[in-house]
Amino acid sequence: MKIVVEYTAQVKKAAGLSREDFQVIEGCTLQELVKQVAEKHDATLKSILFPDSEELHPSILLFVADQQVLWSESLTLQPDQVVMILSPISGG
Amino acid sequence: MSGFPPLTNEERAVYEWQIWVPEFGEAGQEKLKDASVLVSRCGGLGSVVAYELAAAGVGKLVIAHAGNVKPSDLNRQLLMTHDWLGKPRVESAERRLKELNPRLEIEAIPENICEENAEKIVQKVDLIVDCAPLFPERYAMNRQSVLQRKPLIECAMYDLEAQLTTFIPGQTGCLACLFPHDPPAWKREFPVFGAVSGTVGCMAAMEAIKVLSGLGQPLANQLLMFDLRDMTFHRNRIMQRTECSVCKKLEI
Ligand SMILES: [Zn+2]
Repeated sequence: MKIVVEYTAQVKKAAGLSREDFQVIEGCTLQELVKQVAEKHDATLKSILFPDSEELHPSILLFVADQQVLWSESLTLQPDQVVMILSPISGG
Repeated sequence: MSGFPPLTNEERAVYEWQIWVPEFGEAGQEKLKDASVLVSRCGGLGSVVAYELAAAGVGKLVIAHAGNVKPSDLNRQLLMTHDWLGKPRVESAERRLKELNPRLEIEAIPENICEENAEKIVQKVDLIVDCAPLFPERYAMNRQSVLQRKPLIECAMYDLEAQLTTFIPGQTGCLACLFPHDPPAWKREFPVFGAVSGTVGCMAAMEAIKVLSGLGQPLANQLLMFDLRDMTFHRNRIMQRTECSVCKKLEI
């Protein structure tokens, strides 16, 4: 099934694009998708998302269908859902 | 009687066109006149927030920003002027705000917010607009927002992107719910056009006006994100963390 992934700020810069489609297996969880995203791109993106472990860095936010979802929640994705991976910004 | 200080004839004349806004009216204007707002800092974002709030007739502004005006400020920090290069930023800001609105009461503090000064400075105001470029400053204001139960407008930008939300103690989570840990990737210097910081500054000023006057619906429990590179806008639901180390521990 298809999932649309959108990126913001430094995550967008590291991914090199603002949105892309992913083909994932039926029953794919949000965690599996984010790991797939990190594997697909070069090391910069992985170092932002997973700097030192298999756990997503706590400053990175996830949204599924415009709703925040915590990394610790086990969420199964539905076909054509939009997942946003957000990195915090603080420019004043 | 609203219980708020009545407008003078001069104020009625200056604010006439915004008093026409439905659900705002003269009562909304009186609430702004009675209100005090902290804007920290007065850079690309805070300059525009302070300027719009001064124009809208907020009674008192407390502005906090350390340092002197530098050439590299002038592409976006609209309260800083060329003739004030090398002189304190808050002096330039105060002068510009007074030119626009001589009725405005201003307290200009030549310091950035930190854990040590945040409590005293936040005590002076009803609402905070957080325009700080560093997360530790933002966390210091967030803590006081929660402790003193004062609304906090969080606005930030990077490159052509921006994020904006409004935290209202008791009704929403807080900045530590959104970002529980100081993001390691963030650097003090960031790419910025003044038109981007100005856009989010105007939006943050409007959030402040709405919260103070009761107009419309503020961005409570929602994060607005946009990218002016391709004009995409998103408004997403954000959550209060049940284990938040700030609002779940400190709120009375
Ligand atoms: Zn919180």
